[in-house]
This record gives sequence, C-alpha cells and structure tokens, in this order.
Amino acid sequence: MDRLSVTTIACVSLLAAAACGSGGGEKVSAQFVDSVRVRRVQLPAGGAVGRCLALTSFRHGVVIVVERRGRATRSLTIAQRASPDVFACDATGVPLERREWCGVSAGRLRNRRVTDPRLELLCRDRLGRHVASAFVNPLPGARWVAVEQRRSTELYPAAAGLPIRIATIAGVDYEHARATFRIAQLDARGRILSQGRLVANVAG
Amino acid sequence: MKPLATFSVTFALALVLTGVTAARTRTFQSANCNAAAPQPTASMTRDGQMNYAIIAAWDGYQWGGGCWNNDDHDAAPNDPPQQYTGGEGGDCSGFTFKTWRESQDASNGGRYYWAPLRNVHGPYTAEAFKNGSGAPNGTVYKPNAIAMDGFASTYHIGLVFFRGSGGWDQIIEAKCEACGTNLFDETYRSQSAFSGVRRIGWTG
Repeated sequence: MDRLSVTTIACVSLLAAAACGSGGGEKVSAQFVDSVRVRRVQLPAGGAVGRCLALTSFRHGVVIVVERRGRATRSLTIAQRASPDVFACDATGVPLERREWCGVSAGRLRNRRVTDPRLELLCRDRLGRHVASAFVNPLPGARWVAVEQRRSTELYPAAAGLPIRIATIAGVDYEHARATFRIAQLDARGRILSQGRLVANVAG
Repeated sequence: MKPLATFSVTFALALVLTGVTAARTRTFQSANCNAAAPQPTASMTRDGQMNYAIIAAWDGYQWGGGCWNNDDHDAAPNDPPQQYTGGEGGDCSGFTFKTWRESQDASNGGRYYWAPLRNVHGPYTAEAFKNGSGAPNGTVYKPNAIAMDGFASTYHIGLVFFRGSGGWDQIIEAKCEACGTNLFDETYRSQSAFSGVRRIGWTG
C-alpha cells in the first residue's frame, strides 16, 4: 500500500501539473484515483475472492487477483498463467439476488489483450442507477486509464499486465445493452497516449 | 445552357454519391428492426417457444445482436467476429433472452413476447445465464434438462430442442458468425464446461 500511495500522490501531482501546464486557466474537473492491489492466491480460496472464484472456471492452482476500489465499484480481475481466460467480478455494495458480486464477466485473452470489453450492466448503485463495467486493454507504456465520469475523472492504475476493469454511471444505455466510456490512457508522467470513446455492447 | 448542364451533371453525381454513402451506412438493423414495446404474456410453453426459436434458424448470427426476420437467409453474412455491426441475427445470449421471453429488468421474472424484428439483446451474457443471474433464470441438474432448457458455459449458451441419447442433444443456438443460428448436434450435456440452465416460469 505504501508503494501505491507514493504512486498515487505522484500521479495526482503529475496530472495537476499537466492540467496547469496545458489548460491555460481551463476548469479542471475533480480527479479520483482508484486503489489497486495485486496478489497471488492459491486455490481453493475463501472469502469474497473465493465467492468470485466460484463463478469462474478456475478451480486449481494459483491465480493472479487484481483488486480495484473505485468511486462506483469494487472489482476483482482474475487470471491464471497459461490460461487464455480472464474474469472480472464487480460489486457496487448493492447485492444482486443476495450476491455481493452483482456482475461477473469472462473474457478471452490474446497476447494479453481481451478480444472484447465484456460489458456488464446488471449492477446498480445505491440510487438504483445501472453501473457499466468493462475491460480496457492498456497501451504499451500506459500507466493509467482515465475515465470521464459525470462530474469528475477517475484514474485507474494499470496492474499485473492485465486488462483494466473500469466502470461508469455516465454513458449507460441500458435499453440497448450498451455503454460509452470516455477514456484516456496516460503514461507514467501523465502524458496522454490516446483518448477517445470506448463503445461496448453486452454480447456473447 | 452550359452552366445548366454542368449543374445537372454535378447534382446527379452528388445524388449518386449520397446514395452510395447511405447504402454503406445502412445496416440490416437500421433498415428492418424496430423498438416496439414487448408484450406481456400470461403463458409460455416449451412447444410454443420451440416454434419461436426456429424462426431464427438460417437467419444469421450477430455479435451483441437480437433482431432477425424469417426469410431463412442471413442478410449480413461474413461480419468480422466479435464486432457489433448491426447485422441480422442474435448472438447466443440475445437469442436466449428473446426465446425465454425475459424482461430487460433483471428483477422482473415476468414473460414478455419480443417480436423477431424487435432489436433487443437484453442484459445477460452466457456467463450470466450460466450463473443463474436475473429473476427469471435458474440452474438445473444437467440430466434433467429438457426442451427449451439450456446449457451454458463461460462463453456460450444453447437451448435443448430435442433430447438425444448417448450425451448428444439437438441444440438450437446462435453459434457463431460463420455457422449462424441453427439446429446443431452437440455434446454440451456431457461437457464439464457447460452447466444446465432453466427459465423459471414455464406454463406448459
């Protein structure tokens, strides 16, 4: 956690500097940095991780678990060496059918990139709004993915070389099982490597 | 007359180019599908839904899709895999959602008729069906699975059409872009990756 705190402070400083340097007096929205924790977990596992793992196909061996805590969601991204599968469990604090993990997604990795964002829309927040979660493939050199929320920007650190599970309440088109994420990928110095929209559909 | 002739030729050319551009951006979905409200129904029989499901056969597959007609022809063949392009057909979970007469509200277990040309996918992925997510969905012991129950894995779901013997079943499924939606002989019942899933609330 110490290392994370250091990087978090560094990032916020860098982004603030970047905003001041390039903004020229532009109003900068509030920024929030998600926490991330990476661990190796021997199966079978208990607790919240075990309840997520029960919804995946991983039953034996060691898995890599990336735990993220953000503004709207808490998520686990789980992968196993030599397996092409990557799973995500999403939670908002509002259970779905008494399950803490209201969303579970399965993606397929090709060269460590998911072939589809694996959009999940079943989770709702405390106000009953649908929360969209999806994977983003970090670009080479990307350290952060910034996601534009309604009144702020949320920063997700890259971790363990895995796709980054992001979430938003903005841009959810539940009727059409679709969500649009406005994202930017930043390097370690806060420079923008790419920015644009990720449009994801519930599929497969 | 010369300026008039030049104008006429230019105008005609512009019309043709506009038509070409429009044709390029026009998809099966935008040209044929609708957003009609689903009709609540009191009953839902397995026989009735077999008849509904077979309408989709030979009418294509679309990643993230949920709209098809009944002309036994895929109007948008050879789409790139795992990309939503607005073509004809459902994907495995969209096809299951409509055949199982589900509500877009995951907490609603009611029955809703969706016309084949109504474009809707629903909020569930194969993985969500596998885990029995949503009020209308449950799981079933695989040997007990009968017509219109399903077999779901992390990445796919298909519905039993006729129960076979020796581990084989005739499955109706939106299988892939190249193979389309149709009846296939499958061994999902005997594959450990597949779980038995069931729509709750059949009336016959």
